[in-house]
Amino acid sequence: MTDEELVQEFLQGASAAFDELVRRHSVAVYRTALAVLRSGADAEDVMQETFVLAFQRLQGFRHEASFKTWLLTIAWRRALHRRRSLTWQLKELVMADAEFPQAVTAHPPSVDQALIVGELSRDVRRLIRKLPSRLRDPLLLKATGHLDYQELAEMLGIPTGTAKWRVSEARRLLRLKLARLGHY
Amino acid sequence: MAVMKIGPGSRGEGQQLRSAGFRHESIESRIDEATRLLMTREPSPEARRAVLAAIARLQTSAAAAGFEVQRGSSRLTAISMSMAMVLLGFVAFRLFVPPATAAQAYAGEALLIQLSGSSLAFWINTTFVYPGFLFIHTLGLALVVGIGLAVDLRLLGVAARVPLAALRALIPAIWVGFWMSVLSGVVLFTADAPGKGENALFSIKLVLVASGVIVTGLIERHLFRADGGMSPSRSRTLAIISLLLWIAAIVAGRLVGYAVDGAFV
Repeated sequence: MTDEELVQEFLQGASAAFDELVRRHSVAVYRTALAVLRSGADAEDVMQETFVLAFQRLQGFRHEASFKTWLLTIAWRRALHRRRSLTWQLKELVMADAEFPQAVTAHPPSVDQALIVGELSRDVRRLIRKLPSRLRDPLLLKATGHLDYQELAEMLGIPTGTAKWRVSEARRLLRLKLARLGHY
Repeated sequence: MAVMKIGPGSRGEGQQLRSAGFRHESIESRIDEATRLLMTREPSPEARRAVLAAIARLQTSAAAAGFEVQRGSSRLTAISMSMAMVLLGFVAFRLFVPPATAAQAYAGEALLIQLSGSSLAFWINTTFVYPGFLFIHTLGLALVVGIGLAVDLRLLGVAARVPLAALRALIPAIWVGFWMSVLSGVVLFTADAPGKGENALFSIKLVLVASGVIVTGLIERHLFRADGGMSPSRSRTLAIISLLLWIAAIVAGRLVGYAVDGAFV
């Protein structure tokens, strides 16, 4: 069943339909929040907030965008809201030198992947953290693999061309900074 | 990859360009891989179960209470905001549209004196009515400002783990408090109409309260929209404005009783 069909079923009283929507999109919602917050625990909190809000507001869903885009937009805004909170900013100050947490994948990394997780990877993680948020967020959101450029642009409320530019500009800055660190 | 030119002495350059092209591709793919690895995390099974449990609780309480999802603002919010705008308009008219003639100014003052000299005002001032309505006025203020400040602080990130949606249930209490203050305020005004009517601080207090109500209504109307609410920066801005308005309203309200003829006594 498509997302829209599940939404219709839920609105007609089939509560299990929403559980299926949760199962389908929990990873995408989590990764969207993770791209903004860089903390697994905070991302899980935002994931729960997002689905609770979506449950409460589904009757007001106007189908102007796909259900996935609507849901990820809620996640994006909740994550931004948390990022701008005083407590989160204080936590950032305290953990100023912390990098992204090590990636934990559902499947063990291959040999190639293990090789990648080395010095270059650490430098990339550190440099990503230092990117301005308007470039970093689109780069990481695109990297989740759950959004194409059009969906990304809809979520961020910017033109598709701008979304593409921000991702490529983030990559260009990363290349430049990596070159300065000796990675060619 | 860069386009290579074939010409005298270009072989070395061509090799460098080919190498640069290879390295460019290599660093690009490394960025891709590193970025993808960062974003391939998945939520823990416990977190997923917690989401389903939270949804199940909502479904149970919704079914039990005949809950219906509400969109946007309630009728009570709209009426309260309208009243606040009327109040703002009235005070603005008094402040910025002076009486055309001395007779009109005298008539306004005479009306206030007549009101305070009425038997109604006498009854209010000489019985338990005045302290009773003062109590109701204070209680209404406590509801409006207390809950309003809690919502504002939550929007500014204090107690971020409290879901914002949970605060929505408290919003109607703000409007109940507002109307308690308005209706009791009319009674209190009647008891001392000239003292309040000619007191600039009283007008300032009304402006601040009315503005606070309008901002609170905007916060409620936009924060709980179906598409996930207003942008974080807008909600923070409104929360800061609301916070400042309510604090100023409290201070102005307290000072009204101490200001006589433009001086504090």
